[in-house]
Amino acid sequence: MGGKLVVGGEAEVANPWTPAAIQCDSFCQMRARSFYDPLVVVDENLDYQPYLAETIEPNADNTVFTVTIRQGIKFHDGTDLDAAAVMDNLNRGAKGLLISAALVDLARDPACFAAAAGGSVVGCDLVMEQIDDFTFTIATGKAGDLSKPLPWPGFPYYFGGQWGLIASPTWLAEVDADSTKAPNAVGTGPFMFDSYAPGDKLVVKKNPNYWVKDAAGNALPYLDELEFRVIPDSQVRAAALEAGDLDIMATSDAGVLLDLKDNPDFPTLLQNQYGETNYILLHLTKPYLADQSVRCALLQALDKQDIIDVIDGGNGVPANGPFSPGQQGFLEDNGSLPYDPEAAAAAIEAWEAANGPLTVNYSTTTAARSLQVAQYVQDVWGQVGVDVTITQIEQSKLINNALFGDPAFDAFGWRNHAGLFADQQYYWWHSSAALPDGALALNFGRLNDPQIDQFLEEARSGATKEDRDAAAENLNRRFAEGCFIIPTSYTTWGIVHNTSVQGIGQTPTPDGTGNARDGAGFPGQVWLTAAFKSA
Amino acid sequence: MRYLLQRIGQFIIVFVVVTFVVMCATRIGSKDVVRDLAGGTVGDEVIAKVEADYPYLDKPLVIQYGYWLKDMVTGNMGYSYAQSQSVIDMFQQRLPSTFFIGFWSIFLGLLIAVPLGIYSAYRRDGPVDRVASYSSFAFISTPPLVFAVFLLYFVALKIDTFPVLSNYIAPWDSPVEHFKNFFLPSLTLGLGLAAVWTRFLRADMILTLQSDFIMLARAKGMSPRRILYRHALRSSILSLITSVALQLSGLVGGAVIAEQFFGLAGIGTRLVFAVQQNDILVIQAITAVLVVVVVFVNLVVDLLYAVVDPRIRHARALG
Repeated sequence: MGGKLVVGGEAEVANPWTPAAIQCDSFCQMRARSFYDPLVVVDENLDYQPYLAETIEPNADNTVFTVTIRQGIKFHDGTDLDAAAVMDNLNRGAKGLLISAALVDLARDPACFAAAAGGSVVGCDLVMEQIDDFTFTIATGKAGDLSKPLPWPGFPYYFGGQWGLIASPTWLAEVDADSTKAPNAVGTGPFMFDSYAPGDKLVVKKNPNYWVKDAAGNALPYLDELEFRVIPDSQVRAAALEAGDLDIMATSDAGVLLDLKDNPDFPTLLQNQYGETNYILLHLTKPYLADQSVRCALLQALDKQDIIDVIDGGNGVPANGPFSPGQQGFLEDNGSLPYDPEAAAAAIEAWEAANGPLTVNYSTTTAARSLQVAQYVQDVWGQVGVDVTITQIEQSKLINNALFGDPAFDAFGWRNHAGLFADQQYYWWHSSAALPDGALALNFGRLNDPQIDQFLEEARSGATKEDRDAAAENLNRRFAEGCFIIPTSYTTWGIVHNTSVQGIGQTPTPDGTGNARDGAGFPGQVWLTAAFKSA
Repeated sequence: MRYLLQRIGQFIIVFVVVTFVVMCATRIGSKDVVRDLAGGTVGDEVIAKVEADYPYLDKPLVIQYGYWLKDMVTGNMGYSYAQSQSVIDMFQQRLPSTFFIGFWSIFLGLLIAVPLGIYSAYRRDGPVDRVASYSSFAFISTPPLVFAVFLLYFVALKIDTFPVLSNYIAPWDSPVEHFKNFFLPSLTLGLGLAAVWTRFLRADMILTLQSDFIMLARAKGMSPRRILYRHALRSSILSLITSVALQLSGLVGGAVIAEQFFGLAGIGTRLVFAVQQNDILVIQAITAVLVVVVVFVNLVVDLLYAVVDPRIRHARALG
């Protein structure tokens, strides 16, 4: 087959391309999965399937996992893939600033843990034991404490995310010595790094020795080359696709999706499940936002359908909570308060009578749609008596302001929480991740609610699937009850391509058990391992 | 020689003032300079590396500037940790695109403006002059952003010849492909420039054509073509040259639009991204290069004055 595919996406990655360091959005994931393989993938039934791993066996109580790596696979630089290589990668990730926060319940080296004396254990090695050249174990531990093993049935899914992308340890060591080599990624993936110009293009070329075959035993990938172009403006991306300068692109722009959805020349793979929720992120330690009556008033002041109609041309689905359709915990009716501006105004008036005028600083990104939403919110909150100032900040700085609890952070226009299971949201909401302002915390809003904690722990460690599902639904209800976030709509991503592009969404699992789900819970991306271009 | 030394002195003062002010601005906008330089959300090991590479970041601004200047002079333009790329590599990657956008914009602008301005002045108030005048006002009033959208949707999308998504192809690698990829981005800026320069040149030429020496040339029976291009244009071109030099710095802002809309990875978009990221060393390096380019071009323009106008040459020789 052969040929070259030109792929368009919206944003450049920061800290390319070592798996532990990259700040990875969906376009970053799409690119990274061209030259890296994950340890597991998620199949069409939402079960995890070993990929670079051959088997993952939990012990009886899901506190220790034995991972066996496939044999005979080499990295692009000739280094052998083995247990030591994987353990090296996993340790690096677990000590990475962002990934470590997501792995808080993995056991850390006991001596290092003890020496930390209640402080940060990010610098401590994971408790992993190499059994042979291709087998190792990894143990859980509540807050890193090996003496408190934590049942974690859903833990292997984490091997399917950024943490599970495996790079050559030889190359990683070279990067340690010379950071300028960091962009020249070396993995085991279907394509090999060729060239990279930040903010412009990444070119990868076919790995002639790729270890995965299609169902007929033919070598993958089919394509000779992928070229990834960063094009921030979605309209320009769409124009480039229509002009033939791109073959495929990902977009969440409702207007572009609306324009192209009925165009037979550009089929669209809609990703409207397991996706992100658009919402207003609240800094819950601010006195006025710590008050549930204020939060709920702000929520009740917003007509979500009206936002969708006014800003997205009616193309969207109102959100009632943090879980999108298809996600564990999603409920059509989670008890969320309805639109009621009178009630909102009354609550605000009562609060202001006791506390004085209420002013909220609303920060958002520099994208046009973000400003439109901000102005809408400013208007409707103004009508219920809240003064709103708008600040637009570049996206990565916005994220930093939330991460570090910047004093100017009151409310942010936000988009997050894609995924399959509630457990994957643990570190965004558990109080253990709610560090004080000034410290880095993935629990951006500094949410600290005992019921939320309880339901998150049940969703993580529940003995049965039914227990974990029930915990996720309770979580959803608690979010609605407490108005901890103000959801507006669910994000729909579209993978739009020309008719010559085939085979997307058909990345085979190595054991022939079907296909891997594109995105694996991270929408806005598609894996191109089995993609090809028809004549 | 004295003139050259004066200009070098001016350049040094301008360079130091502008780059120091920019450096101060980046520091004012930063809550944690080391973290910003390191790329934002990074681990302690990266912070430690940045502190080791740049140990002066907690010193007074003047000291920091001194270290930066020393690095620049010795060819070390710094490193972008956020993009894992040295600034020099960044320039090598991106400068050609911006250079050619600017170069061809100016070329197209002059290609349109010079004959049109001359003819408009020669046939003042004629049909061509009227059309040119109205068009100039329209194009001057229209921002490059609008041109970019128009050219993208009504030319690039409709005509297969020109790509929506341009690539950098050097003219010596493939002149035809280079033309295809740079024509529309350059036209985006060139149309506005042509409008301004047409007005400048027309106004100057009208005055010049009323001069006594032009009347003498006519009386001597010179052809209109010779009068216009050999005598009148030479006298009128000084303001045009000045405008070209002044527009140069503004071209970077325009280049951002052309780069953004046509997918060319140039210095303009990198500068915007660097400002958003507070990628300090990139901002400072780009500013420094821009100052050098603008001052150098203005020096060349000043020297051109002497070439074009012998009175200036003579005055400088005397002075």
